[in-house]
Amino acid sequence: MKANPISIRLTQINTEDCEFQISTRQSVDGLAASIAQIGLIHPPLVISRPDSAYAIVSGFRRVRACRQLGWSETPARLIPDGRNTMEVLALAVADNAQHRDLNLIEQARAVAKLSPFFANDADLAAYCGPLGLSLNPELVSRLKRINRLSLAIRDCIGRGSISLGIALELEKLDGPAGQALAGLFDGLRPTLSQQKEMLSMAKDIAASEDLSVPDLLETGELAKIRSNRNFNRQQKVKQVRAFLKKRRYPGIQAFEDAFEKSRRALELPEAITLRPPPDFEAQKFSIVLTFQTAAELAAHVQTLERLPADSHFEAIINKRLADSDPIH
Amino acid sequence: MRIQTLYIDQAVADHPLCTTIAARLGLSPEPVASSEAAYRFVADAADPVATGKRTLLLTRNKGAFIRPCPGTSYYTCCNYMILHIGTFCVMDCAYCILQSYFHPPLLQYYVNQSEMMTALDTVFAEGEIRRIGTGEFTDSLIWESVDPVSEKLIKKFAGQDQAILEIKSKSVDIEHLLDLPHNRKTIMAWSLNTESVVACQERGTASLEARLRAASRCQKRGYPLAFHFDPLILYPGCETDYLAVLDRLFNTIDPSRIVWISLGSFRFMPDLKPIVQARFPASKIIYGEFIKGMDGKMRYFKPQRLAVYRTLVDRIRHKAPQVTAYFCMEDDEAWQHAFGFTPAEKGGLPAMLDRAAIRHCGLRP
Repeated sequence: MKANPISIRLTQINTEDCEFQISTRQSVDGLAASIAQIGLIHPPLVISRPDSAYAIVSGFRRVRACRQLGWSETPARLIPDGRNTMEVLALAVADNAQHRDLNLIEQARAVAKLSPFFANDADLAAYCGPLGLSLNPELVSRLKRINRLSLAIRDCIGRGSISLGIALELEKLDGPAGQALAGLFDGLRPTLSQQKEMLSMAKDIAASEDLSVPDLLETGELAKIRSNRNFNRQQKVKQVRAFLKKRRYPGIQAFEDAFEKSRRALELPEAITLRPPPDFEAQKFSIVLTFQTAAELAAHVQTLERLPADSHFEAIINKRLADSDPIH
Repeated sequence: MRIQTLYIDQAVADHPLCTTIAARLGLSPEPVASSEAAYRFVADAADPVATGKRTLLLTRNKGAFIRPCPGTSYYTCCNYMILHIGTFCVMDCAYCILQSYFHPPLLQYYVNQSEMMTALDTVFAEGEIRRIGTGEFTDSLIWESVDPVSEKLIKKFAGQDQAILEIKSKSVDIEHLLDLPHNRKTIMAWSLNTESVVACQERGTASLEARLRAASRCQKRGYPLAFHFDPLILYPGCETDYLAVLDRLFNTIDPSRIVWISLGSFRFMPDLKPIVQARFPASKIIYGEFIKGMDGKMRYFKPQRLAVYRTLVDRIRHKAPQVTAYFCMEDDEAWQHAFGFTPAEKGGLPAMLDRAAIRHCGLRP
């Protein structure tokens, strides 16, 4: 589709008209500096409206940057009259997607705007491919769910602090619970696997103790950890995970603590590591030892020979650790 | 049995049992060319599990009537055989694995019972000791009001001495079974749990008192008995509660009449958790301290379940030392911890149970 180059007054552009807006990016400072130095390389794409104003199809930040620079006019590319809404939306998506990867919120926004024109997700996904937006029906379905999330959670997704998978899990929760978890993840930036673990434990604790997720995350011990200025982000993540685990799995945590205490009591050198079976479920323990010389190996063998008679070792391999209370 | 929708597979529409069952239910059946229509009706419902408990498909069992129990890897199975009379259940237990086992969950009842009887004749003729039960994919007694299949089976098993039938239930519909000539070849078994678990997690089941009373009545009529503490649900104070149930059991039932008692802690495929959360929002059973077991099922943290096992086994041994107690799907460590031996030392779990069946039921190996 050919767009006609024109020059228009910035006051003629209605920046409140967001029908075709895909981009979520807000800051224009860097862009304004770039335009001031080398000019506007890629003029915004606009369409004329019946009220003789122009709507932006692509280039919302460029228009704002030009205004910030005090320009009164800007070059633009005008879409010829007669194009239907779907075609113009396609131009908006393509003009954004061909210059950069769209973030998840932008993809969700594109899907939301285009989906009324398609009978099913497969047709929509196929249509988006040539526009530079690589989708499949499953992803289209998931992106539609993002649009149901609160603005706060969508902002977290836009900033990349929570993934699509986590966002969709949050979408299943009530609004305050989802927002409380999104706030936790946005503030602490745990890894994806840590987010999954925290999400699962927080949901279970809240359900089992008849608490709300915000009450759990935003009051008491967790609130203290999160607001503690003496901890950096990684330390807070570690403390929050430890707190949640102890609350969700008190018996397992107590058993693991007792195991560690008994393992330390064995006074094994660093080169010898005693490993329990995963979750203490299977029966086989393992010992890993590292050595460089025959003398080191001989010393390790001597250490190993004393283990069977050690009461701590016996307690460990029989999984009978006195400090742990298995059920309560 | 409260069925709202009755489907009949066209292939068995002329079977007299279909007419009888439809009349007993007071429903006009909807004939279907295949099971698909019934499956779709259940799968498309807002709550497929609840819908499946009110929807019955009368059909024929196209597969084997007698199958080995689908025990999983690593843990020790008793090698019980399942007699496949039907699927699913009208009772509604929060922990029931059948909610996520069938896709979709649907009550199905197999009317080609002459083929079932032929399959049993074949097994009886094999000359091997067999333990066969109907209570794995369904509750054994829920069908009695529409078709007294247990009555037919008890009579069938009474005529041979190679196999025992185990009828396992949480209901007490036994009146019509009491005076049957069972010849000790049917073991009447009940799942038992604590009062709080029965009250809060087992919708539509008979009370603990009623189950023990029914067992006592069967005892008086000479039936061998069995009891299953499965699933054991762990909660603060559960040991005291389970010990109280054991005490009530042994105060009601003569231990010399008990063929076996099984113990098994709550275990489930991860798929069950969201179903329980949705269908039983007040239930806390899925918030126990579970780990993923060696067979992929969620299980209580081993030191926790071993502690409970040991307490219960000690009480069983104290009150009923001659009763064969066993674990359903546990490993050697659990056996050693609670019993002080592994099944292998006694010839294997199947052999242990075979011996108990021979002793109590007069089987001839």
